[in-house]
Amino acid sequence: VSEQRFNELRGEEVVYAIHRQERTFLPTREHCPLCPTRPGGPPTEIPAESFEIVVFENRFPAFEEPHGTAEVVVYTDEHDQSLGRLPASRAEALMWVWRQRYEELGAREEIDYVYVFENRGVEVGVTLHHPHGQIYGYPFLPPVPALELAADARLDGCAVCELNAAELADGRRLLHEDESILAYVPRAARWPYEVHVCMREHRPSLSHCEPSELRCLAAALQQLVRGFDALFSRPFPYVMAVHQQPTRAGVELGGHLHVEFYPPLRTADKLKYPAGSEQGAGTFISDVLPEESAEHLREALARAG
Amino acid sequence: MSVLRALRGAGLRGTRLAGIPACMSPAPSGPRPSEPVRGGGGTSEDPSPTHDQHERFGPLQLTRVHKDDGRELIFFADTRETP
Repeated sequence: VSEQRFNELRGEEVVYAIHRQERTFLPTREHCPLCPTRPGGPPTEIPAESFEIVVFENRFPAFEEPHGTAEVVVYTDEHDQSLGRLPASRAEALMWVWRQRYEELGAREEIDYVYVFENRGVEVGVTLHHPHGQIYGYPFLPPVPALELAADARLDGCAVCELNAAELADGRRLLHEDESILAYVPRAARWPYEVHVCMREHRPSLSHCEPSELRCLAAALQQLVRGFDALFSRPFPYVMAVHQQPTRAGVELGGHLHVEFYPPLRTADKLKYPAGSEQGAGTFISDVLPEESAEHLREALARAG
Repeated sequence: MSVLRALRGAGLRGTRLAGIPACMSPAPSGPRPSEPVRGGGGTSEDPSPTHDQHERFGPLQLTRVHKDDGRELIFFADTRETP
């Protein structure tokens, strides 16, 4: 069982999930717990010979009912796949899975925020290579979405809508635009190749999107991940964070669906470490201007096709 | 005061997920709920089908099962995909 403590100096919750110390750590592919259970093979987490997309409660959860939830979302039964290379229809189905989980978990009284995310690569702490993401149902509003709401209040409107307009007007950091989606390196990116994939129109959550918008979102995410992989000709590590409207019961707190990518690489073989200034003072120092990284990424996206 | 506490203190009220148009829940197509779900079974470890629960959500068919330790597992099958 996890324990939650409020850190007064930081003004934020800290969760202690000490049972996670024992979680499966980089198993061989023969012992991957997210692969299907093959006839004659060892049982995995998924009791089926094949599947499309599966969601289940994490065996080593950071949050547990009735104090939130922690789920695993397995994108495919193919161990060597990735979000970028899934069939387009599967990626689109994944958007619907996210939406279904957002609605079901968000309807639970104790869950204030449904957070969909993916950690990719050992550089960001991945412990299982099989393509998958996670969903946390937080029993409180975490600091990052709270800061986004504070930005709305500071700008007296939707911050993402305002930033979308500014990026479109500037254009130098824009990576992709279609009828539903804008993707760009934000003007004040914290990570060298940080990218935000945003709904063009104001859509608080996945549940507010038209089916065609979900299709465009899936396609844009896949295109970006393939571009990331083309950038340094290697699987590109990242944290992918889906931000949308909080689900606190009885409260509507705004929000604008967008997906933020935080890649830790600053070159093909060098990591950007959050160190003294970033951790101790909260100020990111970057070696690359967002305009330059956007140019690199546009070239990579063109190569990836 | 944390932002969270400030927001709580502000007592913001509204309707959760308000304004979702009817088109957000498209009519399901494809196999009926009673039909088998592709990609959601097939080993000796399968839970009893009588415990499966089938639902629809947009283009997806959901099959819920419970593992031996009580955890829920949901198979999502895209009714639009060709087997």
